Amino acid sequence: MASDPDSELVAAVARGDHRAARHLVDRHLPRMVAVARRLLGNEAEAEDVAQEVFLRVWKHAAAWQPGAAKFETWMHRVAVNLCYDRLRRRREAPLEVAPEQVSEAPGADQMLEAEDRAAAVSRALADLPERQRAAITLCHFQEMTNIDAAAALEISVEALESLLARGRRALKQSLAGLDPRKPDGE
Amino acid sequence: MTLDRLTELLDAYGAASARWPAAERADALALIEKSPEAQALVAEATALDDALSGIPAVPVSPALRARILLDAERLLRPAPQPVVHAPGWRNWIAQIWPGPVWQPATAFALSIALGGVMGLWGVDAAVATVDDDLIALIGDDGLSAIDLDAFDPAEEG
Repeated sequence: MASDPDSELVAAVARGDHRAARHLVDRHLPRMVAVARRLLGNEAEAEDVAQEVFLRVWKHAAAWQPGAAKFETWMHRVAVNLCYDRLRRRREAPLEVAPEQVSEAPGADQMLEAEDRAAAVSRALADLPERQRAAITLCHFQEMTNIDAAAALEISVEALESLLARGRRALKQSLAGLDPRKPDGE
Repeated sequence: MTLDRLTELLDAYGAASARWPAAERADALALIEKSPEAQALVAEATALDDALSGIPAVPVSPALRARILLDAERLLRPAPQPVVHAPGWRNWIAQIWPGPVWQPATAFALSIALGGVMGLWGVDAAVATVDDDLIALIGDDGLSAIDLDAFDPAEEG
Protein backbone atom coordinates (compact mmCIF):
# COMPACT_ATOMS: atom_id res chain seq x y z
CA MET A 1 0.00 0.00 0.00
CA ALA A 2 1.31 3.46 -0.89
CA SER A 3 2.33 5.70 1.99
CA ASP A 4 -0.37 7.90 3.39
CA PRO A 5 0.24 11.52 2.31
CA ASP A 6 -1.46 12.72 5.50
CA SER A 7 0.41 10.62 8.05
CA GLU A 8 2.98 13.30 8.95
CA LEU A 9 0.33 16.00 9.23
CA VAL A 10 -1.83 13.81 11.45
CA ALA A 11 1.14 13.01 13.68
CA ALA A 12 1.88 16.73 14.01
CA VAL A 13 -1.77 17.45 14.83
CA ALA A 14 -1.60 14.77 17.52
CA ARG A 15 1.33 16.70 19.06
CA GLY A 16 -0.85 19.81 19.20
CA ASP A 17 0.64 21.54 16.14
CA HIS A 18 -1.94 24.16 15.09
CA ARG A 19 -0.17 24.91 11.80
CA ALA A 20 -0.50 21.26 10.80
CA ALA A 21 -4.18 21.48 11.75
CA ARG A 22 -4.62 24.42 9.36
CA HIS A 23 -2.92 22.49 6.54
CA LEU A 24 -5.14 19.49 7.16
CA VAL A 25 -8.23 21.70 7.05
CA ASP A 26 -7.14 23.41 3.84
CA ARG A 27 -6.38 20.07 2.20
CA HIS A 28 -9.57 18.24 3.13
CA LEU A 29 -12.31 20.67 4.09
CA PRO A 30 -13.51 21.34 0.50
CA ARG A 31 -13.76 17.60 -0.13
CA MET A 32 -15.61 16.91 3.10
CA VAL A 33 -18.11 19.68 2.38
CA ALA A 34 -18.51 18.46 -1.21
CA VAL A 35 -19.29 14.88 -0.26
CA ALA A 36 -21.77 16.00 2.41
CA ARG A 37 -23.45 18.42 -0.02
CA ARG A 38 -23.93 15.67 -2.60
CA LEU A 39 -25.36 13.25 -0.07
CA LEU A 40 -27.53 15.66 1.91
CA GLY A 41 -28.44 18.33 -0.62
CA ASN A 42 -28.46 20.87 2.19
CA GLU A 43 -25.72 23.43 2.70
CA ALA A 44 -26.18 24.00 6.44
CA GLU A 45 -26.28 20.29 7.20
CA ALA A 46 -23.27 19.67 4.96
CA GLU A 47 -21.29 22.28 6.93
CA ASP A 48 -22.35 20.68 10.22
CA VAL A 49 -21.15 17.29 8.98
CA ALA A 50 -17.81 18.70 7.80
CA GLN A 51 -17.29 20.39 11.18
CA GLU A 52 -18.15 17.15 12.98
CA VAL A 53 -15.65 15.21 10.84
CA PHE A 54 -12.87 17.59 11.87
CA LEU A 55 -13.97 17.50 15.52
CA ARG A 56 -13.35 13.76 15.39
CA VAL A 57 -10.00 14.36 13.71
CA TRP A 58 -8.90 16.67 16.54
CA LYS A 59 -10.09 14.21 19.16
CA HIS A 60 -8.72 11.03 17.62
CA ALA A 61 -5.55 12.15 15.83
CA ALA A 62 -3.37 10.84 18.65
CA ALA A 63 -4.91 7.39 18.34
CA TRP A 64 -4.57 7.22 14.55
CA GLN A 65 -2.57 4.19 13.40
CA PRO A 66 -1.21 4.53 9.84
CA GLY A 67 -1.37 1.46 7.67
CA ALA A 68 -4.91 0.14 8.00
CA ALA A 69 -6.46 2.70 5.64
CA LYS A 70 -5.56 6.11 4.30
CA PHE A 71 -6.47 8.95 6.62
CA GLU A 72 -8.55 10.57 3.88
CA THR A 73 -10.47 7.33 3.39
CA TRP A 74 -11.23 7.28 7.11
CA MET A 75 -12.42 10.89 6.92
CA HIS A 76 -14.71 10.02 4.02
CA ARG A 77 -16.07 7.04 5.95
CA VAL A 78 -16.88 9.30 8.91
CA ALA A 79 -18.50 11.88 6.63
CA VAL A 80 -20.59 9.30 4.77
CA ASN A 81 -21.77 7.67 8.00
CA LEU A 82 -22.71 11.05 9.47
CA CYS A 83 -24.70 11.78 6.30
CA TYR A 84 -26.41 8.39 6.48
CA ASP A 85 -27.38 9.15 10.10
CA ARG A 86 -28.95 12.45 9.06
CA LEU A 87 -30.75 10.90 6.09
CA ARG A 88 -32.12 8.18 8.39
CA ARG A 89 -33.37 10.82 10.85
CA ARG A 90 -35.06 12.63 7.95
CA ARG A 91 -36.92 9.45 7.03
CA GLU A 92 -37.98 8.93 10.63
CA ALA A 93 -39.12 12.53 11.06
CA PRO A 94 -39.70 13.84 7.53
CA LEU A 95 -41.43 17.02 8.65
CA GLU A 96 -38.59 18.16 10.92
CA VAL A 97 -35.84 18.45 8.34
CA ALA A 98 -36.80 19.08 4.77
CA PRO A 99 -34.07 18.68 2.14
CA GLU A 100 -33.51 21.60 -0.16
CA GLN A 101 -33.84 19.59 -3.36
CA VAL A 102 -37.12 18.51 -4.88
CA SER A 103 -37.86 14.90 -3.98
CA GLU A 104 -39.71 13.99 -7.15
CA ALA A 105 -38.00 14.49 -10.49
CA PRO A 106 -40.09 16.72 -12.69
CA GLY A 107 -40.69 15.90 -16.32
CA ALA A 108 -38.06 16.55 -18.91
CA ASP A 109 -39.80 19.48 -20.52
CA GLN A 110 -40.44 21.21 -17.20
CA MET A 111 -36.83 20.64 -16.21
CA LEU A 112 -35.49 22.16 -19.42
CA GLU A 113 -37.62 25.21 -18.90
CA ALA A 114 -36.98 25.70 -15.19
CA GLU A 115 -33.41 24.66 -14.59
CA ASP A 116 -30.12 24.78 -16.37
CA ARG A 117 -28.40 21.56 -17.26
CA ALA A 118 -26.15 21.41 -14.22
CA ALA A 119 -29.08 21.87 -11.88
CA ALA A 120 -30.93 19.08 -13.66
CA VAL A 121 -27.99 16.74 -13.20
CA SER A 122 -27.76 17.72 -9.53
CA ARG A 123 -31.42 16.91 -9.03
CA ALA A 124 -31.11 13.58 -10.82
CA LEU A 125 -28.19 12.76 -8.57
CA ALA A 126 -30.11 13.81 -5.48
CA ASP A 127 -32.94 11.48 -6.45
CA LEU A 128 -30.74 8.41 -6.46
CA PRO A 129 -30.90 6.01 -3.51
CA GLU A 130 -28.36 7.21 -0.95
CA ARG A 131 -25.89 4.33 -1.33
CA GLN A 132 -25.77 4.73 -5.12
CA ARG A 133 -25.37 8.47 -4.66
CA ALA A 134 -22.55 7.91 -2.18
CA ALA A 135 -20.75 5.52 -4.54
CA ILE A 136 -20.93 7.94 -7.48
CA THR A 137 -19.94 10.85 -5.28
CA LEU A 138 -16.80 9.10 -4.01
CA CYS A 139 -15.69 7.66 -7.35
CA HIS A 140 -16.65 10.46 -9.71
CA PHE A 141 -16.59 13.71 -7.73
CA GLN A 142 -14.05 12.81 -5.05
CA GLU A 143 -12.00 10.82 -7.58
CA MET A 144 -11.21 8.06 -5.12
CA THR A 145 -9.95 4.70 -6.35
CA ASN A 146 -12.39 1.81 -6.28
CA ILE A 147 -10.49 0.28 -3.36
CA ASP A 148 -10.55 3.49 -1.29
CA ALA A 149 -14.20 4.19 -2.10
CA ALA A 150 -15.18 0.64 -1.15
CA ALA A 151 -13.24 1.02 2.10
CA ALA A 152 -14.93 4.34 2.85
CA LEU A 153 -18.35 2.78 2.28
CA GLU A 154 -17.33 -0.38 4.14
CA ILE A 155 -18.36 -2.64 1.27
CA SER A 156 -16.55 -4.91 -1.19
CA VAL A 157 -15.24 -3.64 -4.53
CA GLU A 158 -17.82 -5.86 -6.27
CA ALA A 159 -20.63 -4.28 -4.27
CA LEU A 160 -19.25 -0.84 -5.11
CA GLU A 161 -19.27 -1.64 -8.83
CA SER A 162 -22.85 -2.80 -8.56
CA LEU A 163 -23.91 0.42 -6.82
CA LEU A 164 -22.05 2.52 -9.39
CA ALA A 165 -23.57 0.69 -12.36
CA ARG A 166 -27.12 0.94 -10.99
CA GLY A 167 -26.61 4.59 -10.12
CA ARG A 168 -25.22 5.55 -13.50
CA ARG A 169 -27.99 3.63 -15.26
CA ALA A 170 -30.62 5.52 -13.27
CA LEU A 171 -28.90 8.84 -14.04
CA LYS A 172 -28.89 8.07 -17.76
CA GLN A 173 -32.60 7.37 -17.65
CA SER A 174 -33.32 10.56 -15.69
CA LEU A 175 -31.22 12.71 -18.01
CA ALA A 176 -32.11 11.06 -21.30
CA GLY A 177 -34.80 13.59 -22.16
CA LEU A 178 -32.85 16.55 -20.82
CA ASP A 179 -29.50 16.28 -22.48
CA PRO A 180 -29.13 17.06 -26.16
CA ARG A 181 -26.15 14.71 -26.16
CA LYS A 182 -28.40 11.90 -24.82
CA PRO A 183 -26.18 10.23 -22.18
CA ASP A 184 -27.99 6.90 -22.71
CA GLY A 185 -26.64 6.73 -26.19
CA GLU A 186 -29.96 6.85 -27.99
CA MET B 1 -10.13 -8.04 -21.35
CA THR B 2 -13.40 -8.76 -23.12
CA LEU B 3 -16.03 -6.41 -24.46
CA ASP B 4 -18.39 -7.60 -21.72
CA ARG B 5 -15.92 -6.69 -18.98
CA LEU B 6 -15.18 -3.35 -20.63
CA THR B 7 -18.92 -2.67 -20.70
CA GLU B 8 -19.08 -3.41 -16.96
CA LEU B 9 -16.17 -1.05 -16.30
CA LEU B 10 -17.76 1.74 -18.35
CA ASP B 11 -21.14 1.20 -16.70
CA ALA B 12 -19.60 1.45 -13.24
CA TYR B 13 -16.73 3.91 -13.54
CA GLY B 14 -17.48 5.87 -16.69
CA ALA B 15 -15.22 6.63 -19.61
CA ALA B 16 -12.26 8.19 -17.79
CA SER B 17 -9.63 5.48 -17.59
CA ALA B 18 -8.13 7.07 -14.46
CA ARG B 19 -11.23 5.88 -12.55
CA TRP B 20 -10.95 2.28 -13.70
CA PRO B 21 -9.37 -0.35 -11.47
CA ALA B 22 -5.60 -0.03 -11.85
CA ALA B 23 -5.15 -3.76 -12.44
CA GLU B 24 -7.43 -3.74 -15.51
CA ARG B 25 -6.62 -0.34 -16.97
CA ALA B 26 -3.86 -1.34 -19.40
CA ASP B 27 -5.81 -4.27 -20.85
CA ALA B 28 -8.93 -2.15 -21.24
CA LEU B 29 -7.03 0.59 -23.06
CA ALA B 30 -5.44 -1.96 -25.35
CA LEU B 31 -8.84 -3.35 -26.28
CA ILE B 32 -10.22 0.13 -26.95
CA GLU B 33 -7.32 0.91 -29.23
CA LYS B 34 -7.99 -2.02 -31.50
CA SER B 35 -11.80 -2.37 -31.29
CA PRO B 36 -14.22 0.12 -32.93
CA GLU B 37 -17.02 -1.45 -30.92
CA ALA B 38 -15.15 -0.71 -27.69
CA GLN B 39 -14.54 2.85 -28.87
CA ALA B 40 -18.28 3.30 -29.40
CA LEU B 41 -18.96 2.10 -25.86
CA VAL B 42 -16.47 4.64 -24.49
CA ALA B 43 -18.06 7.48 -26.46
CA GLU B 44 -21.44 6.53 -25.06
CA ALA B 45 -20.17 6.57 -21.45
CA THR B 46 -18.44 9.92 -21.97
CA ALA B 47 -21.76 11.77 -22.28
CA LEU B 48 -22.79 10.98 -18.70
CA ASP B 49 -19.31 11.80 -17.39
CA ASP B 50 -19.53 15.21 -19.05
CA ALA B 51 -22.97 15.78 -17.59
CA LEU B 52 -21.75 14.98 -14.07
CA SER B 53 -18.63 17.10 -14.49
CA GLY B 54 -20.82 20.07 -15.45
CA ILE B 55 -22.00 20.44 -11.87
CA PRO B 56 -20.04 23.44 -10.57
CA ALA B 57 -18.00 23.16 -7.40
CA VAL B 58 -19.17 25.46 -4.60
CA PRO B 59 -16.47 27.16 -2.51
CA VAL B 60 -16.25 26.51 1.20
CA SER B 61 -17.50 29.27 3.45
CA PRO B 62 -14.69 31.08 5.33
CA ALA B 63 -16.90 31.08 8.43
CA LEU B 64 -16.97 27.28 8.44
CA ARG B 65 -13.19 27.14 8.15
CA ALA B 66 -12.88 29.59 11.04
CA ARG B 67 -15.24 27.51 13.20
CA ILE B 68 -13.26 24.35 12.54
CA LEU B 69 -9.94 26.05 13.34
CA LEU B 70 -11.48 27.40 16.55
CA ASP B 71 -12.34 23.82 17.50
CA ALA B 72 -8.73 22.87 16.82
CA GLU B 73 -7.50 25.77 18.96
CA ARG B 74 -9.73 24.59 21.80
CA LEU B 75 -9.03 20.85 21.58
CA LEU B 76 -5.42 20.54 20.49
CA ARG B 77 -2.85 21.00 23.24
CA PRO B 78 0.93 20.70 22.87
CA ALA B 79 2.08 17.29 24.01
CA PRO B 80 3.77 17.31 27.48
CA GLN B 81 7.54 16.82 27.61
CA PRO B 82 8.45 13.24 28.52
CA VAL B 83 9.69 12.83 32.13
CA VAL B 84 13.12 11.18 32.33
CA HIS B 85 13.71 9.26 35.56
CA ALA B 86 17.38 9.42 36.45
CA PRO B 87 18.65 6.96 39.08
CA GLY B 88 19.62 7.88 42.71
CA TRP B 89 20.84 11.34 43.53
CA ARG B 90 20.39 12.50 39.94
CA ASN B 91 16.68 11.74 40.21
CA TRP B 92 16.52 13.78 43.42
CA ILE B 93 18.28 16.70 41.72
CA ALA B 94 16.05 16.36 38.68
CA GLN B 95 12.99 16.77 40.89
CA ILE B 96 14.38 19.96 42.42
CA TRP B 97 15.72 21.33 39.15
CA PRO B 98 14.24 19.74 35.99
CA GLY B 99 16.58 21.70 33.70
CA PRO B 100 20.33 21.28 33.17
CA VAL B 101 22.16 20.79 36.49
CA TRP B 102 25.02 23.11 35.54
CA GLN B 103 22.72 26.11 35.87
CA PRO B 104 22.01 25.92 39.65
CA ALA B 105 25.50 24.57 40.27
CA THR B 106 27.09 27.56 38.56
CA ALA B 107 24.76 29.96 40.33
CA PHE B 108 25.65 28.37 43.67
CA ALA B 109 29.40 28.57 43.02
CA LEU B 110 29.17 32.17 41.85
CA SER B 111 27.17 33.14 44.93
CA ILE B 112 29.83 31.64 47.22
CA ALA B 113 32.63 33.39 45.35
CA LEU B 114 30.78 36.69 45.32
CA GLY B 115 29.99 36.34 49.02
CA GLY B 116 33.65 35.79 49.83
CA VAL B 117 34.77 38.77 47.84
CA MET B 118 32.08 40.99 49.28
CA GLY B 119 32.89 39.78 52.80
CA LEU B 120 36.54 40.65 52.57
CA TRP B 121 35.84 43.99 50.95
CA GLY B 122 33.10 44.71 53.50
CA VAL B 123 35.40 44.21 56.57
CA ASP B 124 37.96 46.64 55.26
CA ALA B 125 35.28 49.12 54.40
CA ALA B 126 33.68 48.82 57.85
CA VAL B 127 36.98 49.34 59.70
CA ALA B 128 37.79 52.27 57.50
CA THR B 129 34.37 53.76 58.18
CA VAL B 130 34.71 53.42 61.99
CA ASP B 131 38.20 54.93 61.98
CA ASP B 132 37.08 57.86 59.88
CA ASP B 133 34.02 58.49 62.11
CA LEU B 134 36.06 58.40 65.30
CA ILE B 135 38.65 60.76 63.98
CA ALA B 136 35.95 63.14 62.84
CA LEU B 137 34.34 63.02 66.30
CA ILE B 138 37.34 63.69 68.47
CA GLY B 139 39.71 65.24 66.04
CA ASP B 140 43.26 64.29 65.30
CA ASP B 141 44.67 66.12 68.31
CA GLY B 142 42.24 64.73 70.85
CA LEU B 143 42.95 61.21 70.02
CA SER B 144 46.02 61.09 72.26
CA ALA B 145 44.14 62.73 75.16
CA ILE B 146 41.74 59.86 75.67
CA ASP B 147 42.70 57.97 78.72
CA LEU B 148 41.32 54.56 78.26
CA ASP B 149 42.58 53.46 81.66
CA ALA B 150 40.36 56.04 83.32
CA PHE B 151 37.25 54.38 82.04
CA ASP B 152 35.42 52.78 84.97
CA PRO B 153 32.78 50.23 84.02
CA ALA B 154 31.12 50.61 87.45
CA GLU B 155 30.06 54.10 86.56
CA GLU B 156 28.11 52.81 83.66
CA GLY B 157 25.28 51.58 85.84
